[in-house]
Amino acid sequence: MFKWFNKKKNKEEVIVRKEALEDYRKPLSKKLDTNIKLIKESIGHNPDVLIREFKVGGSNLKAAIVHIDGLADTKLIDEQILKPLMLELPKINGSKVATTIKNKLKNSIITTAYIKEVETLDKCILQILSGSTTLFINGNNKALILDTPGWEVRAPQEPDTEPAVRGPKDGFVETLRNNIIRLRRRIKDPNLVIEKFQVGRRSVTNIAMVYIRDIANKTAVDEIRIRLEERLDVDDIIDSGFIAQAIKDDFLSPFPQLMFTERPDRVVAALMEGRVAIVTDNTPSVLIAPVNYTMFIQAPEDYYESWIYNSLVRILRYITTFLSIFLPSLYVSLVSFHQGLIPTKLAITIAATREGVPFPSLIEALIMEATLEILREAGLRLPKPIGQAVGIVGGLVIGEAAVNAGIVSPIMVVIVALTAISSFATPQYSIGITFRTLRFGAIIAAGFFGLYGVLMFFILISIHVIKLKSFGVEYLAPFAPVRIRDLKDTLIRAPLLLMKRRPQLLKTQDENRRGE
Amino acid sequence: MITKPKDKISTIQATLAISATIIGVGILTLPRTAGKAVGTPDIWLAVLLGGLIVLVFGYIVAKLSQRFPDKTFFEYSLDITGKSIGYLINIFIVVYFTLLAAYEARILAELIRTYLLSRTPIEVIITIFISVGVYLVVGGINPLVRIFEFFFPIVVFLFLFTMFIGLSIFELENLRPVLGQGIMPVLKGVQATALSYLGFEIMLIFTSFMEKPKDAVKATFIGISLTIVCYLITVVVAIGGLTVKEAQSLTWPTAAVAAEGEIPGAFLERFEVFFTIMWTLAIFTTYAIAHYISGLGLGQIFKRNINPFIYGLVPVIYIIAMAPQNLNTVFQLGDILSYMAILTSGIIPTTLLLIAMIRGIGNEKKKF
Repeated sequence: MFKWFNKKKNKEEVIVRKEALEDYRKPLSKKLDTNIKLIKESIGHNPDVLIREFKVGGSNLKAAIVHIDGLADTKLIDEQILKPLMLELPKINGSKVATTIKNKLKNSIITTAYIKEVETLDKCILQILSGSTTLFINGNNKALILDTPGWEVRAPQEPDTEPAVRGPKDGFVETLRNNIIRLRRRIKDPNLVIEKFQVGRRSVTNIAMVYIRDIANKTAVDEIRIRLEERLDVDDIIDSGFIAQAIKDDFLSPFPQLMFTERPDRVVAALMEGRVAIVTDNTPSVLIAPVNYTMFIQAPEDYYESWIYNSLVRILRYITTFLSIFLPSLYVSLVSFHQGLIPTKLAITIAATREGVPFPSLIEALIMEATLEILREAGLRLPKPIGQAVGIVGGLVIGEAAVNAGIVSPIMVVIVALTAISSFATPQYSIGITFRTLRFGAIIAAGFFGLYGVLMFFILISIHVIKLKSFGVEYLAPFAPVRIRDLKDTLIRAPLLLMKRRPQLLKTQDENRRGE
Repeated sequence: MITKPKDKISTIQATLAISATIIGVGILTLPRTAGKAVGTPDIWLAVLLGGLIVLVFGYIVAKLSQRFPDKTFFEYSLDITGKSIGYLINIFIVVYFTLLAAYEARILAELIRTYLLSRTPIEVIITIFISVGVYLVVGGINPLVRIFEFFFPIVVFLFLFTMFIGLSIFELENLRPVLGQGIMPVLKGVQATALSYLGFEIMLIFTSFMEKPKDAVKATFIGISLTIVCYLITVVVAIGGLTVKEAQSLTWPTAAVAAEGEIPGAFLERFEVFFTIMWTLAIFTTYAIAHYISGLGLGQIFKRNINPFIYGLVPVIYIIAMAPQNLNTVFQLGDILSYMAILTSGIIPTTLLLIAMIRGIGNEKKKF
């Protein structure tokens, strides 16, 4: 669709951008002093880079460890590295070759769980900046990387954005490692694959693509991997939102094409269905792809309670979806174009309440919707206790006053309030945003062309959604294309006993998820 | 984004495409046209018979296309009749579908003007309609058939709902006597009712897009049968509610059924709004497919990418749709289309199938 865009892009001069560590891609020296000089030149300008030189086991062999204050755990360094090296080490003959010593240290002295040898400066620097401790030994052109993470991790708590009555109360945190653990603890399948990437030239952010090897559709996995590798040539990744925007299919669409979640149970359910999760360091929002529309109408809780109740809830959610997009526009079109369609008594009531309202209903609706959005935004940005006050003041006082002043009709207030409540009833924040955006389009269409406008707007959105794909999965599946088997988990939530297969629309490798 | 010939559609999609195409303008006026042709309350018999006849032609169309499972009509017509005649036939089909698209757009605009927007200029209504249609059509065959799948349950639900409302004025007496004047009026009406099924000829093109072309006959049969059921319900409810005389005189008899029906305690006063929504969706699908096929036809005649043709057709369709001065002229256009449909869905496929069989072209050996 955007061929011109790509053409233009190709014509542009290719801007040469440097990797942050490009200048340091050189081998380490055998001499300890040279290595320390290299480190000092590269990152030593900062006071929190700590270089500790010492002599191994009372001999004359010089060594040094480098770490960053606060990023590495000092206690761990003391007990597992410095203490054994300096005190507990049996006497080393000075004549022994340095390599042997290094191997001996590695194999029998140092007790950290993770240890690795590196030969180049850039890898040393990256590891130091990631919280590891680097050990240089004189006479060795290899450095030992010792894993000593020491930064603080937020305790897992129930995510504010996706609260649930039933279900696990732990949420993702800001550390990649802890988030992966959360998934590991729930899936003990050896086929669970965690592919790590480092993206962001300056931030060097760790991201992990997680999927189950013998379930997930290979084409989708490859597609996601390619996009992660090709489209993320940026300086920094501050939040997983950056990744979502970079890899999604249609960047002009108002619909979310990847799902954000802070709930591990949701991610595990998605993995088990054959989807892929992308965990990003420094953000609690984990991405799920590929997605389809019905996912945004489902909540993890749906599967924890009786299917009868949850089927009713599902139907309710589809109704609220409809209301949150179309209710104000239907009202506007009925009042301004098709009064004849309203029952006479109600029409008289509406006419009576609208008497004295100076605006046409289109403007009235837009004013009210805009006011509501302002209130919502204000409530969101303010500190929590004040935010609630703003909601109450705005909702009750302003609404009441506006009606009394005759600026808006009371029925419009009812309509707008109902719409707002409906849009907050969606289980996913990101699709709620979409509905709110589309609502304005529908209102304007209704204001100009009545029901015909609303209907054409509906057809337009339908076409858009039908054209939309998320990593090869049709967005509106299982409705279009129809996947009869998957319809069991859409408008209703069939008993789990009946959902023996994984969603057909994901074209998984292993379809069965339940024994006979 | 560019339509590849490789795009495939499933059997369900093909089936729904047939129903969605047939159910368009025809059903709006069916009680009137059939009522005029038959003249007795036995219209439903004529509708049934017409449907059965159409099934035969549907079979022919599907069989013809199955002989060339990887080619559309625009390609294999050249193989069967040779280039010069083949091109003539192709151009005729393109003209037919272009006229059909324009006709659908105009009828929709008239319907909207009657029931929803009495003061909005018809030009605006048609422009919006065509613009939305183009957005769909340029996406190629897959979004097209998927939108049918998506709209189908909505249309069926609204259809049954409006018909259910229509039942409130239903009187069985209006449908009697059965065959009061013998079978002759029914037979006279069969031609008119059979023509209301025009649209199944899209299988000439759609078979080549099917994942399993051998299901083409099945898809055609189910697609047409679904339509027969819809038509029967419509005619029975309409005649039962309005009587033959009234149905003959109303411009939009089917809408009138919905308009006159009532449910006590309902929120809305008049129900033709549901009807209008349903028919906008139904007409939209027919329009989109007609537009797509004429674009595809032009593309395959000139062997080019089809999207420029789809855009190029927009002003043509608009001008044709705006050409008729009044509703009567629009209906005359509908009559012309019916006659063309006899050629496109009856005579041409039958002749081509005969020629193909005699010349032994296509996949004859494979018995489907």
